[in-house]
Amino acid sequence: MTPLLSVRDLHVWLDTARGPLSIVDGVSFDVGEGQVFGLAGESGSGKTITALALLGLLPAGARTGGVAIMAGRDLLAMRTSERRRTRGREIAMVFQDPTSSLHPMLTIERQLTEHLRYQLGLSGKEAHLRAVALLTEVRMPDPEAAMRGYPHQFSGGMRQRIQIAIGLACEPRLLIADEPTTALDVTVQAGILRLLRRLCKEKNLAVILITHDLGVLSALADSITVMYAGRVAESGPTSQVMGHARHPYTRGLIDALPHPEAPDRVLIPIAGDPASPESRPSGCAFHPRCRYSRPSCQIAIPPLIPIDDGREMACPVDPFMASVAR
Amino acid sequence: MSLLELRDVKVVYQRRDGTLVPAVAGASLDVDAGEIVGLVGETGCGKSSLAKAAVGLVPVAAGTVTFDGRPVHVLGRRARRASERRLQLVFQNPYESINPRRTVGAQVADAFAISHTLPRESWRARVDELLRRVGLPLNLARRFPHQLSGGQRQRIAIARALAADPAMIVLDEPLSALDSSVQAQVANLLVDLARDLHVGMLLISHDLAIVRHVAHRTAVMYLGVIVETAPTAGLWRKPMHPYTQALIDAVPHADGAGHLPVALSGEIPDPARPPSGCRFHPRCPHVMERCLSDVPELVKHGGDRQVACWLHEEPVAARPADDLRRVSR
Amino acid sequence: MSSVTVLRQPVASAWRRIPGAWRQPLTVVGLVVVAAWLLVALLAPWLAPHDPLAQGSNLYQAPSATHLLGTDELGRDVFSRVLWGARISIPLAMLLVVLAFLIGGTLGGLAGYLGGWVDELVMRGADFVFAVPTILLAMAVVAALGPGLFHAVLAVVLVSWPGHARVVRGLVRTIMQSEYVAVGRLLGSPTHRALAVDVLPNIAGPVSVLAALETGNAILLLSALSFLGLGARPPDPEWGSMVSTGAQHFEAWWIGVFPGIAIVSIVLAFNFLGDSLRDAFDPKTIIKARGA
Ligand SMILES: Nc1ncnc2c1ncn2[C@@H]1O[C@H](COP(=O)(O)OP(=O)(O)OP(=O)(O)O)[C@@H](O)[C@H]1O
Ligand SMILES: Nc1ncnc2c1ncn2[C@@H]1O[C@H](COP(=O)(O)OP(=O)(O)OP(=O)(O)O)[C@@H](O)[C@H]1O
Ligand SMILES: [Mg+2]
Ligand SMILES: [Mg+2]
Repeated sequence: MTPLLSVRDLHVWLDTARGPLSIVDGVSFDVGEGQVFGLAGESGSGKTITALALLGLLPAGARTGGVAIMAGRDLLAMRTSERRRTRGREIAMVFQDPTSSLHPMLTIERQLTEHLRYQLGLSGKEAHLRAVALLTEVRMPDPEAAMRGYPHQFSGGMRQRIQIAIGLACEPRLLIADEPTTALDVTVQAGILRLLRRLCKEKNLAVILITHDLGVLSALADSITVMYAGRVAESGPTSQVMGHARHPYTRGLIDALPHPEAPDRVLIPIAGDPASPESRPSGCAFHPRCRYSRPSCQIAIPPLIPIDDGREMACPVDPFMASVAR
Repeated sequence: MSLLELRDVKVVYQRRDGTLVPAVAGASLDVDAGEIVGLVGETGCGKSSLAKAAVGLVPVAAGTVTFDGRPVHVLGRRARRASERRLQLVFQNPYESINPRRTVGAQVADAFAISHTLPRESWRARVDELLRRVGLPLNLARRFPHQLSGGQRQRIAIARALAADPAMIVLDEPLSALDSSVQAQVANLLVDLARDLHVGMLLISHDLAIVRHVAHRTAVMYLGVIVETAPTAGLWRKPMHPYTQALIDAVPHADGAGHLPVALSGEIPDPARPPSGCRFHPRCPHVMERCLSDVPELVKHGGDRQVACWLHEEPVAARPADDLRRVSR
Repeated sequence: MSSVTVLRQPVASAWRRIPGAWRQPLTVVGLVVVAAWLLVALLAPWLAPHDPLAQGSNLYQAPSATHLLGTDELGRDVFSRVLWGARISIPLAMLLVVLAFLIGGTLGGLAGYLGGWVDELVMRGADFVFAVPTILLAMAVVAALGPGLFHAVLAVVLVSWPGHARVVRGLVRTIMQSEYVAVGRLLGSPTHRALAVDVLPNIAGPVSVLAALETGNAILLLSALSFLGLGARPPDPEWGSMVSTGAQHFEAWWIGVFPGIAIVSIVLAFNFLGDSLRDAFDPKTIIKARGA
């Protein structure tokens, strides 16, 4: 079955004072209908930029390379008008930055129903009813009252849910959710995760879920891609990647989590300094921080090679092979 | 006497249509020097409002807030008193709490620029040191906020507060935008600050695993009131309030097993119209008759624990309050 | 293969170093047109082939080699008059925007910063001005003071300060309530520092956008007043009054059309410029795209 979205060799350069800066460097992934695709990775590794590239919302002066085919069309090569139609109807995004997507001076009602009326051509009344239903779905207390409120009157988590409601409003085929549950407590988060799961099952919604919360990824994602410094470190089915991480960076991420059984143990961050796009290390970008690095890691960018059951990994050293073989 | 004391604090907002929203409906909390107190609770239950009240950003409608024995003043048009500047807040949303038009380095340097505590020559070095502490590459200092990712901004916000050399920091969701490695680094930093420099912290977070790891004591908030506080280990081992139990049950696990955690059933209530009696009763699996009408008080349950729930009403026979400061109301 | 390489290694040419927002075609058009008109205004005495006021014997002459844009009903050279017109409209419009901004910006800033009754007073005043259609109010003012270019300028200032006041007040208020100001204040920053460090840099962008857009509007409004005979007096080569004269002589279309084109071109150019300023000052231009 062909996937809904197929991204191949995505590159993004952003415009800076010192010339173009490579932020995303050859990322490929597929998102199937009804699937949740998880994107994890270091803070600053280019997850948000990847998502913005798919929507054509990169800052001015940015350049892209590669292709992102959705339903036979290349998202990266679309014209502005076509993009605008695609956004909202076919692809919706829940932004990490809540301020840029909720207008501070407009009521929630305006912001929700505008989309419905413009994109789906609903009447004022229909749009209102649908908006209330959406707010109920994301578990807003008292949706009717919430419709009359302005963004600053809501708590961080409420704004996040309003955003999710706006994202889901036009029943897109693909939802890109950038940190959709960070401002939510675990019980409400569980509700949102269940809602997304249900929409995937019933409406065949595809989701790109960008989050640092490996627990959330474990619960919801069907497959995961872990990024480091703009490249893919490891990708594959969730159970494999989370259960038996093979790339040293993925391992590091999982080992840095607080241990549920030993809360007193000191947390172990990955040693060394984070990579920044201006000074991305040569070869494998992770090599300066990697305990298993060899001289060759400093020279050649490791290719993504398939290992077991649909998993791919970019580490020729593969120090954790044994742990999987067990 | 604790470093930061919140006594029966109420925070009330007014909506456009005139309805009053008691976002915090009488909450008491203490944070000692060198102590990390976790504050967890449902979204919209008033955690950020309590945090803002604690530093004087919103006025309290009732109750008192004291820092270092002196009342905290609501921030007016005048500059904040020097004595209060060692009480800092890290905001929840790093996209709003950083000025888009100044380099992040300059903003981190604000604290010394304002208080003149450091000669200008050493600003640079101090900023670098702060960036390193929060795990950021040093070349970020010259960038503007829009050139940073969410997690990088969040760490800038933390570095900015640390620059003021605070004795007490209220941190509103400081770790949620960070990957687990940086999260570990910042969490360790917080623990070090508390242990080595005796900085007190009120840590608001939805990440219960981190709270469990970092906080000495945890307070659980539901709809504007504190329903349980206990030493963190005890709270996790044996949650007494049904809401605490629900929170713990909903934590997802990073094991790749694909289990969806359980969501708490029922409607999330509107703080403008809180349920009668125990505020949690419409969603409580153990609801009893009296929960509908009687408001449970936060009462002591041995040692250092307090619970507001009718399920646990008998145990402690009124013992002389050895630790008055932990008893609220 | 080669196309892939090209994609991977974007060339850092000088053109690419100019911030993205300034590279849009409309921006370039706006910049070029505004710059050209400024030059014309500056150099009109040398550029104009004829004296704009000199009456000739060739009335109503169609455009020709000697009179590029023809002559008007008094035999004056339309081309020279259009060039000289730039000397009247553009500096006046700019002066008037500066005045309107000084008045409106100060009042708006005070209203936003102090709030309370000052805010009420300023905003009710602004509301009053807004409630009356701009051109009507301006006409009323000129009618009261008597026609004349200077009075027209006063009238336009009087009707356009509320726009500035509203924008500045709104910005000052939102920014003073923003979290980043709160962070600074918690660190002990006095309000004047917050104003200098947080508020000013954040309103500079929107204000210059407004100024560019308003300059366009001001030119239009001044011309409109002159068209109605309330602004520039007859011999002056003012575009609006030239269009007005042209309207009375349709058969000699060149008398009115060319000054009209001049007005449209500069107003549009200022609008393009305003829009691109908005993009340039917006640290994340994505916002606009997202709003779309
Ligand atoms: N406009 C810009 N100009 C230059 N660099 C930028 C710009 N925007 C982002 N960056 C840089 O690009 C990198 C990737 O940013 P991105 O926002 O995609 O990270 P992320 O993976 O989403 O991180 P996080 O999890 O912290 O949100 C970061 O190192 C960031 O500093
Ligand atoms: N300015 C305001 N006007 C009216 N109501 C407000 C205002 N600010 C907050 N509220 C309300 O107060 C309640 C508590 O908000 P608060 O931001 O303190 O929640 P929170 O516990 O921090 O939630 P989250 O975890 O989602 O950030 C919410 O119901 C919110 O709608
Ligand atoms: Mg991001
Ligand atoms: Mg909050």
